[in-house]
Amino acid sequence: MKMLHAAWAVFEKDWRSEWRTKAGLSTSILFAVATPIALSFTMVRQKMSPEITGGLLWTVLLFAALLGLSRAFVKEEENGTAWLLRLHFPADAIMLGKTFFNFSLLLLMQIAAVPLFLILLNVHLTQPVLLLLALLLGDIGLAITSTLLGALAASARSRGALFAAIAIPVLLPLLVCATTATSACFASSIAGTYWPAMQILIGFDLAMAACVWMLFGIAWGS
Amino acid sequence: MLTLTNLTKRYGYRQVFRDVNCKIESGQIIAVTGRNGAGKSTLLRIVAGLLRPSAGKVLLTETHIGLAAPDAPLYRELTVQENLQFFAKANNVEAASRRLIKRRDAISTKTAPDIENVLERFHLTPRRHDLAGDLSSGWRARLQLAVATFAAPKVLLLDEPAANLDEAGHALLWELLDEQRQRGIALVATNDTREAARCDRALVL
Repeated sequence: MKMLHAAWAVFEKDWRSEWRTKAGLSTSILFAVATPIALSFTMVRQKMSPEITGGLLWTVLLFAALLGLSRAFVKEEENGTAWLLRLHFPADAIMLGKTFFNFSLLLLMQIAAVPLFLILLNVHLTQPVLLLLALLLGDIGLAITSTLLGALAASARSRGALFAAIAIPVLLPLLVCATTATSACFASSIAGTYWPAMQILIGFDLAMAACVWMLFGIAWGS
Repeated sequence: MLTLTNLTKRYGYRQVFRDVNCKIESGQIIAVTGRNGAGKSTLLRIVAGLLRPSAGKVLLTETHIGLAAPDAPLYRELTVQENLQFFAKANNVEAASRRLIKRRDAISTKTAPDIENVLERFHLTPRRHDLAGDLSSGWRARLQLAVATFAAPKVLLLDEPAANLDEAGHALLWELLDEQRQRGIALVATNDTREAARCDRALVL
């Protein structure tokens, strides 16, 4: 109970701090909103296949997420507050608090970006509920993975660059499955690829959650 | 309570200190002194468990530690009150204090602090809604002291605590250290000889 209480304190502190500086949120949303606008000008007369649409959507979401997610730990190291967290909070509470912060950041970014993407690129969405499910599972995997990798990269000198460099290879299975599942939601009938991709996505999320649970303490240096 | 055995710290090839031995019993305030770069701050961080020693052992029987250091800022985007509330949640001080008050136990304000008492005691009430990043170094030092001490830690580690404090701040610091004698130990890293003279013993690096 005390751990959940402490995790909530970390989550609340991160949001309060983010709301005042808007460092991660504004960068992510700006990228996620500007890219569909730019794409809409170049693709105005083109009919995109569901596969290309799904790939484009996740490319936008991934890079927007990478811009914002690394901030959760990088700013603690840059401001010199990381040792305060280490001293006062258990590693489990920091892990939970930061994961929920990253997850909520992704949700907010997608609330702004996904409808705009669908409208500006004139995407025919056949399975809205299944798309939401695919986005949700993708977000969970992104949030969990970026919490571990953010903690690992935070103590390095080139923190931001290192985070992106190690995140992209690790997130590749998630990206492939999320793109496949998302593309199926744009097809005229739900393709047979949706559920197998979702199964792998669930497996990835669970495996990463187990990895984070076991390795976060070591990565964070507690 | 705290035993340092052959404690050595090196950064690469540079040796900071070597074979530090010390045994500190409960109720003692220890001054950690030495020239600039002797490793006073490093020693405090090793005792706090934030740095690993290159060799030697730290044996600490208590895990409840408070640490204040001038080079470690608080959350600049949070106000004074929000910083205190955040660290209170880490130690569950606020909740524990509320429970005590509800039960109407005989508690003094100094042993069961809530945020209001802490703000008042450290004279931070007029600055409670100011962002920590906007505070002067003196106010920030008070806030760091408040964060380090308000959960009543058994082990208190203070790195140059008086560097930015005025006369009233000095008096408050020694009031806190006298209270610390009653519940545990304190290590005070300082170059101020008057301050070191008020401590029970000195550990010279």
